[in-house]
Amino acid sequence: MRKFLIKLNYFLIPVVLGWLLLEIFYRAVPNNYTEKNKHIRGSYNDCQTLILGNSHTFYGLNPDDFTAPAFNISNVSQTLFYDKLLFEKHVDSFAVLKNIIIPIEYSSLSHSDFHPELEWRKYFYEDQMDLDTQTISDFDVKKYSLALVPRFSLTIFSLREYLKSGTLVECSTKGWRRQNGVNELYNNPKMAKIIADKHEDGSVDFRKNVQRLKNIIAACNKRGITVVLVTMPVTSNYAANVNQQKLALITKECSQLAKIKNVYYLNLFQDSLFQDTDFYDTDHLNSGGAKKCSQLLDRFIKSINN
Amino acid sequence: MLFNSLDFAIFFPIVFICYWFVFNKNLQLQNLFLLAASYFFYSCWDWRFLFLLLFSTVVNYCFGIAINKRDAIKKRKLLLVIAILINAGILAYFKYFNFFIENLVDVVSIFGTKLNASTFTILLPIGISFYTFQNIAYVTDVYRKHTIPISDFLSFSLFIAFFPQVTSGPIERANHLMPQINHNRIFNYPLAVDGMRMILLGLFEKVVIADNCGAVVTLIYDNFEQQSGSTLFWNAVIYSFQIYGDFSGYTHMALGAAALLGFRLFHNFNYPYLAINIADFWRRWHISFSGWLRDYIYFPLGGSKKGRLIQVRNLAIVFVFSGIWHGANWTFVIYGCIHATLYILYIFYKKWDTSPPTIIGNCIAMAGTFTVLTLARVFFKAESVDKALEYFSIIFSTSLFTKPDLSRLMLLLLFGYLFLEWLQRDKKHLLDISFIKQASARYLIYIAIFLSILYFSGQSQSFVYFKF
Repeated sequence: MRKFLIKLNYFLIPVVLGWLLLEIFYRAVPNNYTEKNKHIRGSYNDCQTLILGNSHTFYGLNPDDFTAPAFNISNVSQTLFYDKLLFEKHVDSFAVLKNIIIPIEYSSLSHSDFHPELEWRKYFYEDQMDLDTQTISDFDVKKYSLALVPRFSLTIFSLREYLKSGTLVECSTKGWRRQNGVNELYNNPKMAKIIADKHEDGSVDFRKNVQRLKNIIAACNKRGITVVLVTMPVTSNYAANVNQQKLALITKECSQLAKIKNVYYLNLFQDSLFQDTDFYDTDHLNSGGAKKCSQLLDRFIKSINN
Repeated sequence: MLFNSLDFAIFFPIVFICYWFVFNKNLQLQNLFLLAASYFFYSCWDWRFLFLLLFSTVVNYCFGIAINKRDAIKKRKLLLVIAILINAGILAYFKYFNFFIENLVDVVSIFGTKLNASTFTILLPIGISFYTFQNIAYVTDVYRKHTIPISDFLSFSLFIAFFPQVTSGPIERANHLMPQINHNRIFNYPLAVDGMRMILLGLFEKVVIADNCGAVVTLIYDNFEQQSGSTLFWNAVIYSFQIYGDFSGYTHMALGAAALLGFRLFHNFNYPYLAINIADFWRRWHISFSGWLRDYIYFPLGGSKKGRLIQVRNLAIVFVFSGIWHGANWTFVIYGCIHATLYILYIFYKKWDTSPPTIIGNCIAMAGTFTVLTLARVFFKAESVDKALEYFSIIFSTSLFTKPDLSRLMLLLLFGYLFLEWLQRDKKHLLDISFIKQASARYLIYIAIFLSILYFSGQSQSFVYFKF
């Protein structure tokens, strides 16, 4: 037994040391979650427009292009579940919040709460954005160790990024992430189909997410905040590959919601203002496209506020 | 609690430490602790089904003793039949009730009658097929006087609920596991090292091979109507590796965990994709299950001793039963029928072909067997017979000869893995590398596997065989 335990330790000690180092890495190095959580508090006094949502708004709406102070709290793969939690957590801290922007993408309304591929993010929301998702058991060890949360390949990727650029923070202090140019590798018809297929969950059951939207809207109405629902632009290739019937149902649902007082809907899904060169990849705007989109939304908000 | 989960990574070391350092002085205490750990492990899936496991244990314990007490063959037989009916009844209710009702409604509707029978949402208790078969084997063995009944209830409970194998086998026999439960266990270094190797191998098979193959397979199956025949064919090949990696991975982890506790469980796999014919395949794949089918269905039916026609009938029964065992769906029935047909054809072929095997002949036979079994698995994977037929109609279209839309590197790696298995075919398992004398070389292999498990770990997926 002694021999076995000694030899076992040859493996276990490096593993434990590696785990400790990764834990320190995840705890000590700032990332998008920690930065957004820090900077949103700094914007409590002057922010008039709060931008929620996933990568489409994260890359697509730059608060600096809005006339009035704005903050972008969106993040990659952030679903309406997290949008609602973030909104509820921060809304009462804002002094002059007038508008919130909620993107409704192709998969937003039908998205199930816990996609296995995105499961790891909930630990970061809990630990680094102080959200109580009420989905993590106290007996779940990942609750206490972020190093155990993401797939190891993702951790290696993060480490490489950190060693290359010296930071894991990809967003500005206002929460926007810049993506320059067009990435031909990801912005092409073949990739558009793959991504559209990936976004297709085969569900048209919108009830849960629509209810979340209604809850946000009701809370906004109580506080005199205007809600802007926006479907962000995508490339023509992507648009051609999504289920048109489902898309029509989503548009219909948003239009219904827009009948509620102080709720507006802006559908930019296939807006002719955006060319394929405005996109970094098949469904995300690049910095040029983001400028166009942000200014368009700013004008839209100004028009409704007036 | 999956073997490849953090929960198990915490649970097992605690069990290991308590087992060898706290309860090691007293066998009864050690067994009691193992039983408690096993029940805890099982209840992590769904604590309600623990009562079913307990019920099953009590029933079979009592019947084992009752059968042994009777001398009259008729009474023994009657008790055996009752025990089997109870076991089969539980299994049938949880696994086949809805299937039976749905088909009854369909059959009755053919005659113009509308039957107003409704189905229920019945959760399938994890491991039910495995521990029920183990119980049936036990009472039958007691009836046949192949084993003595277990009078110690604690030992018997552990025999049924032993946590490394309760959820997905191997299906153990009392003659094999009981002596190990009833004897003082002394830490066995070579066995423990082999256990660690098997856990490492199992993790690799599950996390690297099965989960990554599973991600590809799911993506393609979800939209298979839009894929080419060649893509679907190679996707079926990948599925074959997924299911092998999944089940073999689970089994190796189970065997490894048991070995660390001083137990030797049945080896369930013996390089099945190196099989050169269907009979060879069934000697290598899910060995404890095929052994069970042989000993408790095929032989009682007469096996091959009552003439060729009876043997054909027996094989058909065994394989259809094996298909249904996998699930309540006509796809599994067809899957069983395909295996039965292949096996029966093989028997006739074997009689006709008496030429000695050659290396090239064996390679061709290996590739042929693998291909046929891979195609049969389309039924195994499909949700319905219609879907499977649709899948086949695409495979056997002209698009079979186009370039597949799949990672060639992945296929290359999978066949590379198979080649490694071929190199290790005489060893107990792929990672049986004790023949490498240099410790540093062995350690390098372990580290490489460990790092690949960490790095290539895909999206964690449930074990496919848990649903059986």
